[in-house]
Amino acid sequence: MVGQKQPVYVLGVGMTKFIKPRGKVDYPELGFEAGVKAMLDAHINYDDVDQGVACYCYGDSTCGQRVFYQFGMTGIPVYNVNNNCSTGSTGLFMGRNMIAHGAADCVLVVGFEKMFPGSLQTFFQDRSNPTATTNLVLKETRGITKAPGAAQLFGNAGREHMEKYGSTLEDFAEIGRVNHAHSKNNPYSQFQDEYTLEQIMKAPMIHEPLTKLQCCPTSDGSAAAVLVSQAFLDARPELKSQAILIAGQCLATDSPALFNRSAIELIGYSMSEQAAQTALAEAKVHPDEVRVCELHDCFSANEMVTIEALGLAPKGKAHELIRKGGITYGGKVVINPSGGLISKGHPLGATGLAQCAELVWHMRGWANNRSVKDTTCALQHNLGLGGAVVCTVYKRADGSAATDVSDAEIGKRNGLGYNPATQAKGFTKQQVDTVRSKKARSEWALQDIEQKVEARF
Amino acid sequence: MTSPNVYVLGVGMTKFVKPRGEVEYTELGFEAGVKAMLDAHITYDDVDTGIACFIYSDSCSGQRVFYQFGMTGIPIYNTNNNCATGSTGLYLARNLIKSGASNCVLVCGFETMKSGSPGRTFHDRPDPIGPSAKLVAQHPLGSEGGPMLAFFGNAGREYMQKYGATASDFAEIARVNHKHSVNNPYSQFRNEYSLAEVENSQAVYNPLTKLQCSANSDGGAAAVLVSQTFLDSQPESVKQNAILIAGQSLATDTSTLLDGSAIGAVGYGMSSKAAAEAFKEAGIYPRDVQVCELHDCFSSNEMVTLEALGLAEEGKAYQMVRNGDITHGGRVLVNPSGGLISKGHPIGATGLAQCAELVWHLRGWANNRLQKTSSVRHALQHNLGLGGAAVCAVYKRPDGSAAMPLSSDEICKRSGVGYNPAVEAKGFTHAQAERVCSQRSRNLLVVELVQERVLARF
Repeated sequence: MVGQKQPVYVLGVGMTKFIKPRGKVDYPELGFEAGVKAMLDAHINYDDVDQGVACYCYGDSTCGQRVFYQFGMTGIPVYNVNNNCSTGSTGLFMGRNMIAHGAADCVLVVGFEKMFPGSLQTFFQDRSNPTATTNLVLKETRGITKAPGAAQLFGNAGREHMEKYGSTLEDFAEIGRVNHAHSKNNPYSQFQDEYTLEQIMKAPMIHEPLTKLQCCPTSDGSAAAVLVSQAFLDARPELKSQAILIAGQCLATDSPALFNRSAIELIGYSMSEQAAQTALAEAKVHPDEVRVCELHDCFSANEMVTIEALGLAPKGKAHELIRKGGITYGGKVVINPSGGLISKGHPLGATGLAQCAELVWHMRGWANNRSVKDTTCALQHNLGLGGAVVCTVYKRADGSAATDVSDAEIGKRNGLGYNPATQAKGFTKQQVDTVRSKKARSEWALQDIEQKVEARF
Repeated sequence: MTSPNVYVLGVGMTKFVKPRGEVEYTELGFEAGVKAMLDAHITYDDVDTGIACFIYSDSCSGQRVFYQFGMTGIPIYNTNNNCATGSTGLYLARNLIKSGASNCVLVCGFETMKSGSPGRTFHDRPDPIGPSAKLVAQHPLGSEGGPMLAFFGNAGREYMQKYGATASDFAEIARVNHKHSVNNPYSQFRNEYSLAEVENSQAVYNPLTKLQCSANSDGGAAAVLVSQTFLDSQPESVKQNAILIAGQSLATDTSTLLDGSAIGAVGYGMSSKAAAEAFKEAGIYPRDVQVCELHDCFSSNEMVTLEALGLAEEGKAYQMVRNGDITHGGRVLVNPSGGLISKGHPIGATGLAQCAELVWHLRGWANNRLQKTSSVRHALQHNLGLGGAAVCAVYKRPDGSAAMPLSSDEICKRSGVGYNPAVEAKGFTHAQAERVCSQRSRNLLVVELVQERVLARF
C-alpha cells in the first residue's frame, strides 16, 4: 500500500513577466528572478531548502544547477525534469510527493524557458519524435496540413467537438475573447489587449476553428514555488495565513484511448479526465464547488474539451456553459483569470508554476483586482502531449473561502511594500542578500546575473 | 511505520555499441526495460511509477519508450543530470519508495549519441557548466583541446604535481579496465592492452591517451526497484534475487568546485559528500567495500575518485593502483565491467548499467569476473555528472551475507530468460516480451515496428 500522505503547502510563489522571445534574456536570469521572488514571498533563505527541482524543456542538462547555484552551493539534490508542456507542474508534483511522504521539508521548484519565436519545434531531428505515434494517427484520421503540428492536433479536436456536439466557431472564439479580456488584470501577462468577438473571429485562420488570437504564443519566462511540510510551517506560525494547501494532486499519463482515432482523445482527453477525477477525489471536492480554475488553453479548442474533462460541464456541453457566460466573472467558474496561456504566454517549463502562483494569489485573497467570490478551492490543469497531465486542487489551510486583502495590507505583511499579484515589480540587492545562502554562496556561480536582472527592473 | 528498505529486484541492459545511427532510443529502452521486468519476474501492470533517464532526446521520450510496455496512466518522469543521469533516476526511484510514495518503480535509461566528445545541443544560451568552464579555460595547468579533456586532464596533471604519481599510473588504470571488459558481454570494447600500448596510444591531453578515455555509445539499461511490502508478496524464487540499496546519496557541487583546484573542478567535493552520506546511511566504512563501479570517464577521474570515495587515503590512490589493489585479488575490485573506458558511456544508461553489474556480483551471477579473494558483502557505485551531480550507492545482499558464485545451471533456473544475463548478452522471445507488457492497457500501434526490430537484432 502506498503510504499515508502528510499535508504539503505552497508557502511562496514568484514569477517574471512573460515576454515575447527576442533572445534578450537568458535562463539564468529568468530562473534567478523567479526563485528569488518565491523565496522572498516564503520568507525563507536558500539554506532552508533541502531539495531543488528545475523544470525546463529547452536547454542542455544541468541548466537547473546553473540556476540554483546562483542561490547557493549547498550540495542539496537538484533534479532536472521535463514533461513537455506539463513540465512545470511535473516539478510541483515531484516536490509535493517528496514532502507528503516525509522525504523533504522544503522544496524549491523553479521552472524557466527561453524559447524561439514561431511554433514549437523538436530539437533532435535525427531520431524518433516522442509524438511520432500521435502524428501517425493524425495522418491516418484527418490528414496532415502545413499548419503548425500542435495547431492541427488541437484544431482537429475542436472540429470533432463541433461535429459531435454542435459547438460553433463563435464558441471557440469566445474562449479566446474571454481569456484576452482576463489578461488585462494580470501584470505578468505577455499580452494585455482586449478584443471583440468579431476581431477574434477575423484574425488569420491557423487551422479551423483556431484563429491566431485563439493560439498561445511562445514566450520567455520563469515561475517558482516554495513547497513545505506541516512541520516546516508549524515552526513559522506567522506565515500560516499565506500557506496554501495542496489538497489533491495527480499526474497521469496516456491511456490506450489516446490512439482510438478520436481527435479529442488524441490530445490527451482521457488522461486529463483521470488526473482531474483523482485530484478532486483526494481533495474531497466536487467540480461544482470550483469557482476558479487555471487550465491548459494552449489553444481555445483545448479549453473547450478540458472544461468537460475536468467535470466543469457535462460531456458535450462546454459550449452551452460558455454561451451562458459561465466561464468568466458572474458565471459558474472563472476560467483562466490570469489570461491563460493564450494571452499570458507559455514558456513551457514555467507555465505550470505560473498557474500555481495565480491560484495561490486567489486563495490568499491577493488577486484583489480579479478575485472570485466564494472561492473555497481552486483547480489547476496543465497538459503536455507525449505526455502527461497534472491536476491540482488548492485550498486555504483552514478550508475557508478567500477574502480580498488590500494592496496596502499585503505590502505590509510581505515586507515588500507592494502586492506581487497586482504589480509586476522587482527586488533590491538587499532583498537578494536575505535569500541567498548564508553558508555557501558563490559569487563566481552568480557571475553578473544579479546585476543584469536588477538592471531590467 | 513501513520499512524504508528499497531493493533492486531486476536489472537488464543492451550491449553498448559504437554510435552508428543504426539503433533508435525506442528500441534500446524497450530492450532494457523488457529485460529488467523479465529479471524481476514482474509485469508492467505491477509498475506504479516510471522514470526515464536520457539527455539527448526531446521531452517525453520516456513516455515514447514506456508506452511500448503499456499505457496504464502511471506517472512518468523524464529526468537528467548530465553523466549522472541514470543514477539520478535510481535515486529518485529509491526516494519515492523509501518514503512510501511508490511500491514498484521501473527506471529506464537510454541514449543514442554522435561520435566525438559529448557536446551541447543548445548553443544559443549559456553553458550550464559555464562558470567552472571559465575557470578551467584560464587554468595554469592548461586548457587546450575539447572542454571535457581540459577538465579531466588538468585533474590528472594536478594529481601528479601534488602527490608524485606518474603518467604510467593513469595508464595502468585504463589497462586494468580494458582487461576487465574482456569478461563483460555487454562491453563496447573487449580488447586487452599492455601498459605500453595504453601509454603509446594517441596522446590526447597529457597524461591522457586515447585508450584512457571513454567512448560515446548507444545503449540502454534498466532496473526495477521495489519496496519491502512488494518484495514480501513475491515467491521465494523471486525474492532470492533481490539486492538491497543500503545507502544512497545525491550531492550537487559545493564551493570546492570553484576554488581554483583542477581536482575540485571535476566534482571531487560532491563525490566525496555523496560517498560519505551513502556510507553513513549504510552503516559501513570504505574499507568494507569489496567491489566498486565508479565513473571512469577518463583514467584521471578514477584516480581522484578512489580518494574521494575513501577507498584510498588522500594522495595514495596511485599506490593502490601500483599495488594491484584495484583488480581481481586486490583490495577492491574496481570497474569489473570494464568501466566507462572500455564498456562505453551512453549517458542516460551508464548509471543503470553500473547498478546491473553490481547486482550481478552480489547475486553471484557474474561468475566469470567475481572478486575471488575476499567475501563480497558490499558493493559501491559512483556516477558523476559535471554541472552537476554525484550519486553514490551502497548495495548488499538483504541478509548481509557474502555473495556466493552460482553455477550457470542454477542461474538459468532463476533468471527470467533461460540463460545467465551476467555472462551472456542475449535477447528474449516475442512471447517473453508479451508476458511482461501490460495485460490490460496496451496499444499495438506503439509497439509494432519497434518490437520487430529489437527481436530481429537478437
